[in-house]
Amino acid sequence: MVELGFPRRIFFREDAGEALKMLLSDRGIDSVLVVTDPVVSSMHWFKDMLESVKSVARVSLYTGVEPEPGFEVADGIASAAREAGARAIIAVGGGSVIDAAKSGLVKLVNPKISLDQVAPFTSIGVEGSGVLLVAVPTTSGSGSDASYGIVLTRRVDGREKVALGSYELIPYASILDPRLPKFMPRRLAIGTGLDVLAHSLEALVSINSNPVSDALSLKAIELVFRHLPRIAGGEGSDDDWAMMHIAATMAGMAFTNSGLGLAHAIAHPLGARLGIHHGTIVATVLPYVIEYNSRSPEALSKYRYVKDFLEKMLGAPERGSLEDHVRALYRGVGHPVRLRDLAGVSEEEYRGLVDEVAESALRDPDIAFNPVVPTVDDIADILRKAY
Amino acid sequence: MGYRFPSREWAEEYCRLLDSSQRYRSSGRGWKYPILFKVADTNQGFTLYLEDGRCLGVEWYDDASSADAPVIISASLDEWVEVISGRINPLTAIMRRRLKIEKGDISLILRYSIAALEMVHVAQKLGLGSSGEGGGG
Ligand SMILES: [Fe+2]
Repeated sequence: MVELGFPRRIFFREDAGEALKMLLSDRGIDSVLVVTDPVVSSMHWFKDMLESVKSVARVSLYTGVEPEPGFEVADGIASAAREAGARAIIAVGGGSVIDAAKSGLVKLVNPKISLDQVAPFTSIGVEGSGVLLVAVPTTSGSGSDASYGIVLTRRVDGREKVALGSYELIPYASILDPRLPKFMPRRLAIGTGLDVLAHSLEALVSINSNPVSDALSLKAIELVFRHLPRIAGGEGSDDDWAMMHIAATMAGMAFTNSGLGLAHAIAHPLGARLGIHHGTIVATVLPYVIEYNSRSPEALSKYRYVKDFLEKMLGAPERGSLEDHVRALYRGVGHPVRLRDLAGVSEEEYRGLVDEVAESALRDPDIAFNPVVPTVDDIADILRKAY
Repeated sequence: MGYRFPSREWAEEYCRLLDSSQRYRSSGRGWKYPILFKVADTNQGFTLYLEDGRCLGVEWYDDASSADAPVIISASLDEWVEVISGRINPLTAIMRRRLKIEKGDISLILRYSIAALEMVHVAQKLGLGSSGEGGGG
């Protein structure tokens, strides 16, 4: 049997400011800390949203979240929240901002805990603290607004991505305003959109998958195949953006209640070494992982189910395998199918990284629930093929 | 084989087999902590002194209730049988709280998930003894 966890409330509507006002008034919260990054904080809509929130609560701001935040961000956010006497932390941004806010919440309610101790059933004290975490995602990708995970970068001897998680860190509320992701640069919209696909496909075949996570994964996969190509082509309608936005959250719910897998386990160390955006790197590795995982009969039957669905219900042409459909989607949205096409490293440099990345991937917690247990040589093989 | 689980003999043989497993040697590299395995309904238990992919020794307790180790994993005999016989993945069992981490860091254990799976694989080779279950592997 399984334990499942979800945000308590999800607002899917075109006015995040109004939704926040409603939520804070409902809960009688009169003091909040808004956490964001410098890019979001300069946007007009962000200022409008703050005005709405200010009509019901005192607002303090933490606008210093950098891309790929490190462990130190947690203390900064926690002390800002403490100083403000915040009863809610509102994270407005992409996965990095939401993850930073989660880590800040940990340090706010439990200053003595080290982030390394955050683990699925470790009691952190969030639930008893009365402080609510509210996520307003501005990208349609990480699913962090519905997930229990935090990914931070550790900057001791090189860069290492560390994934942590606890059910207490699923945000209390997720506010999905489909106007916000439209401000993303096109490349980011594609990268984050393909991360949604990776979350769904990994959650689908994880050994912890269950009927609830399967339902969420399958619908999210459908939404990506239906709506991402038009967004990537510059002709996304309001409906396309809205559907990708909710798909990201559904995929976040799926993997929180199932698991991720080998593509994410590889993407964490590889992305950190190459300094490439998470969604871009995980998407590039994904078809090779699907191919590898197909040696598991259970995974293969789920992949075939998706392949049949794409061909029979979405009218995709018949192809040999699911990974062929995934590659066709990449070509359709202009995303590389091989790592060599991502700028930055020569083949020689890349080959030099393979063994080290494979070792780190083997130590990544996301590998625990992959349907096939890989050896370090299997991972190195996948890495070589993916180049 | 034929050692019965749980028993001192089973634990000692398990440690020997684990120490000679090449796959455990490589997947357990970097792990430094002894693990105390407890059988909740009989109060028995044993500590494996695990270090860098090796099993350096074992301590058996007829009564493990006051034994201590940096990592303590506890479950009923039925749950251990499920895990050792391969009917439930050990990490899934942890996530579903069928194996209880009484002490230690789950996130660290998840980082050694391949080593955990190899530990089960080795336990399967040893089997469960006269209870007649398990084997294979
Ligand atoms: Fe991801």
